[in-house]
Amino acid sequence: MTIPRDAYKSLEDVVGEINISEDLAVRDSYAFNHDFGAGSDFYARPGAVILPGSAEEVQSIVKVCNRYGVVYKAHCTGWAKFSNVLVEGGLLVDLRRMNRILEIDEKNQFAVIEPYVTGGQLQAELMKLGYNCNIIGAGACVSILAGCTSGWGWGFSSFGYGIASRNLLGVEWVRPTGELVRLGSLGQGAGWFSSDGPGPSVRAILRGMGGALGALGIFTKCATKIYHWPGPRTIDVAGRAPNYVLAKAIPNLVACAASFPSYENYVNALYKIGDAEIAFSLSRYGLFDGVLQATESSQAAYDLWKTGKFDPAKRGHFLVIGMQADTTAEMDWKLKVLEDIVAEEKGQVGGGPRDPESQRRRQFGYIKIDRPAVCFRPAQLGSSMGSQGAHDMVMKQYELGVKYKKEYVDSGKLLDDGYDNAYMMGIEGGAFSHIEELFHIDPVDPESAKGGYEFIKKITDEVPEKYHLSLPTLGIFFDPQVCLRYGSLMFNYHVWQTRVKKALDPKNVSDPTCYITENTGKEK
Amino acid sequence: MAIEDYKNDLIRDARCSHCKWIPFAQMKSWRFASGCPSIDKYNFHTWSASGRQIAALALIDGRIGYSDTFVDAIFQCQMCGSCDIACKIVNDREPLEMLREIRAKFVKDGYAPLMHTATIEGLKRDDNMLGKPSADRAKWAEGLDVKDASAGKSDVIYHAGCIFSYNPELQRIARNTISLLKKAGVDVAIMGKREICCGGRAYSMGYQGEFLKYAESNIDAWNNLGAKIVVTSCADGFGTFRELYPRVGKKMNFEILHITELLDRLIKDGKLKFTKKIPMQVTYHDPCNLARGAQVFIPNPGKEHKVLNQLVIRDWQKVIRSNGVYAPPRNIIRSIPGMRLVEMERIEEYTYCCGAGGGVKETYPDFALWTAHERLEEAKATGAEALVTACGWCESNFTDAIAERGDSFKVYDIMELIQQAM
Repeated sequence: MTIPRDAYKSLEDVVGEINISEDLAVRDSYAFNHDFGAGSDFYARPGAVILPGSAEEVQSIVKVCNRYGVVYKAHCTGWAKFSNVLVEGGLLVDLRRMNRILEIDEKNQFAVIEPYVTGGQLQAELMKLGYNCNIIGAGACVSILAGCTSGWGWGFSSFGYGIASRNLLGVEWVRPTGELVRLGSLGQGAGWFSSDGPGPSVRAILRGMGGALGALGIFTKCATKIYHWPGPRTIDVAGRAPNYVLAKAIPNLVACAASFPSYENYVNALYKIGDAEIAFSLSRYGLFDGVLQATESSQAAYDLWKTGKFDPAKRGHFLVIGMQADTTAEMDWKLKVLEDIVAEEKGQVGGGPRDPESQRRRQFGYIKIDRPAVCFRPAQLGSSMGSQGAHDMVMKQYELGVKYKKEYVDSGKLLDDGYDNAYMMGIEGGAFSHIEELFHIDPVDPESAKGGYEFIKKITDEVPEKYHLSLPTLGIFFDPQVCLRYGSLMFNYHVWQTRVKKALDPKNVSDPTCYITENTGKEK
Repeated sequence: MAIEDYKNDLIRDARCSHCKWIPFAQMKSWRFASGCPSIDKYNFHTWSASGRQIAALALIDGRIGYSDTFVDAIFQCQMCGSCDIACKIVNDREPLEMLREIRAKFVKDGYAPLMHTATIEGLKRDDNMLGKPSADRAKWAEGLDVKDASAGKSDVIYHAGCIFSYNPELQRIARNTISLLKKAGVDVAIMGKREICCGGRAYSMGYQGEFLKYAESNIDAWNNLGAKIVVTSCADGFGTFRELYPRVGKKMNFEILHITELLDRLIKDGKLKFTKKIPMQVTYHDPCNLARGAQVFIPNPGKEHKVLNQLVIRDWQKVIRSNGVYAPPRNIIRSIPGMRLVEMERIEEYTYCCGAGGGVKETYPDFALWTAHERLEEAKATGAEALVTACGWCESNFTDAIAERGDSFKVYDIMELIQQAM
């Protein structure tokens, strides 16, 4: 199915012949993606792919789509199915040409960026000036703007550097019907420093917690908060691919771990570390995926895993901590506070926080966030839950994730990672965490892909309602039946979303598939 | 292996887009973060390693057929291997091999670009990639007192390569190389008129059969001549001999060296000494085939098995093409009196292509020059007065790019600077 001819001609007039294509090879290269643990496939084939170069071109494209009833969707780095236009024959708007860092305001600590600026690029420029940014869990290869405006946004350093949705400041937004709107202080001509006001903020409408995933128009610029970085302006890297390491440890930066004998001690420590405000990164990752990160091939990972040193059943509750400081005295203080907290909770600090060689080997991953994609190496990475809540609640969800996963691992459908591959990251410097129960499937094996889907569905169907825990925002949460069931338990959010969608997008041309569809908007 | 044999890996494409960038660990700026000239210029995902693989999967699955755009997407690629490095940091797949096999399929099915077809016809006729008469192969060596390899056993055979043999601007480099080697006491000979193409560019264009003929012929010739070392100035040739020739399955009774490796040894042994100062700040461009093409790698036999239910293990050793020839050219530059080396951001295994490889110079010359301009901008950003390289194709493309804009920036082959410093 192609774009109507008149629409195609109009779109071609907007961007020029070289920036739009309806060739089948091009269209199919955008149709394929992975479903985050439920397999990989060619999903809906776009009718065409277009590459705008400016907000004005985006506006014109959106207006053409409204005129001709063509469903469209913004696409950036495009990692996972929800990045695709999921309506057959829709227009995929690839924002790759809009890739500039427009401004770095050091005094007010924000950076203004276009959609295709990746975390790795922004971080490299910020560090030269003594700043850093939150890079989401997917890693340095993904769009910062997409995380801020459209989807999720939790990252390894979100404890100190915030989550992407909260880092969002001024926004330039092409609404679903094509009007260009500037939100927050930007809309008042006061600059990019705030995403809210004057008057009621529309940030919740724009994205809420999970993001509208391309269903509410296209974001063409945003400002994102940046954070103080006391480390070096350039990172001195040694080694050869794939084994890059720091040439020497970065002073006043600590990457360490702590382990605790009980769930209760662990959770207490999380709260105390939050209260103490000593960490910029607080996380827990599954041991299997930790083994992946530490090795250069699946064979090497398997060899290491077989040694039994990383058996999840034996290792207790452990935490990975990142701390930064401006001076040695400050870091000494932070380390003492950490050690006191850990001791109070009967735990042990590991990872050589005071050993330069140990730090040299550990620090790299805390800074560059360059290797999350390695979790796709053995087989496709899948994720479930994606919930947020107080540390206690998140830990309960983690335990349930492990319990639910056992069936699917024992049946052979999921990779045997010892059941426990939960990834938790502290967010917003306080008492909150984000949790994902990771797993791996082989997309080549239909039974494995099916197992992944069933596992995510089971968690999504049962965990919130049965255990009164937080709603999952990953996996198949945009399944209409899920929205219908949970919406009625949570202030009828699905009704509000439907109203927002209808008000902003009367022709429903901004691809609604990952947001709210007509089937879900039923009041209860 | 055919691309169909890689189908499982095509399906396992993670869609992470690492193939578009240099390793994130090495990213130093927004401007010089990219690793792939193809996606940089053409922007559609189809012009990335991932996009090409997905499109190939669609082709194999019968979802799509061939088209002019599809041909462009596949052949507007210098086959530089940047995607291979970046992907293998996080994955066990073989992007470069898959791209090679996709091209082989296009060629086999009759969808090679016309210019490539013409180039290969020229290769078959005259044993070179430049469409020049084979009778003129050894003209560069006329008047040069150098041994004919067939006249008697020599330790070292110098393979000039097609571009050094025929490009008038580069012939003097080949001549100077011989003079220098002789001065250093090296027992060097050349094949002269009997020198033929390495076959490497034919391979990268998808003509694997043609490559095989040249590879077998060269290996046999050098074995029969009893050479201990085959040395070449051409990085393209070097990468072909070092990485691709072992795939032929014939024993190679000789060592393959790039000229910078041999010269570095001679300087260290005191057999070459620099006596003149060249006060200049330069930057060095790592040619792709010296950086990523310098390792033996035999593609996998297609076997995989699973452990831990779904952990895919390949039954072959993963080779990450990161152990290239980096130090020798840099050692040489640093040992030239007065010369200062400043590095670009993208170097060594994550070097950015010059633009000339993979048949691009032949078929998409504007793209070749565009890529060269990208790289020259990076060179200038270092503050260097000149760019130095060790590949005839790189130098030729950079020179063309500079001429196109009337730029005053200098490009040197490393041999030119060595000659000046002697």
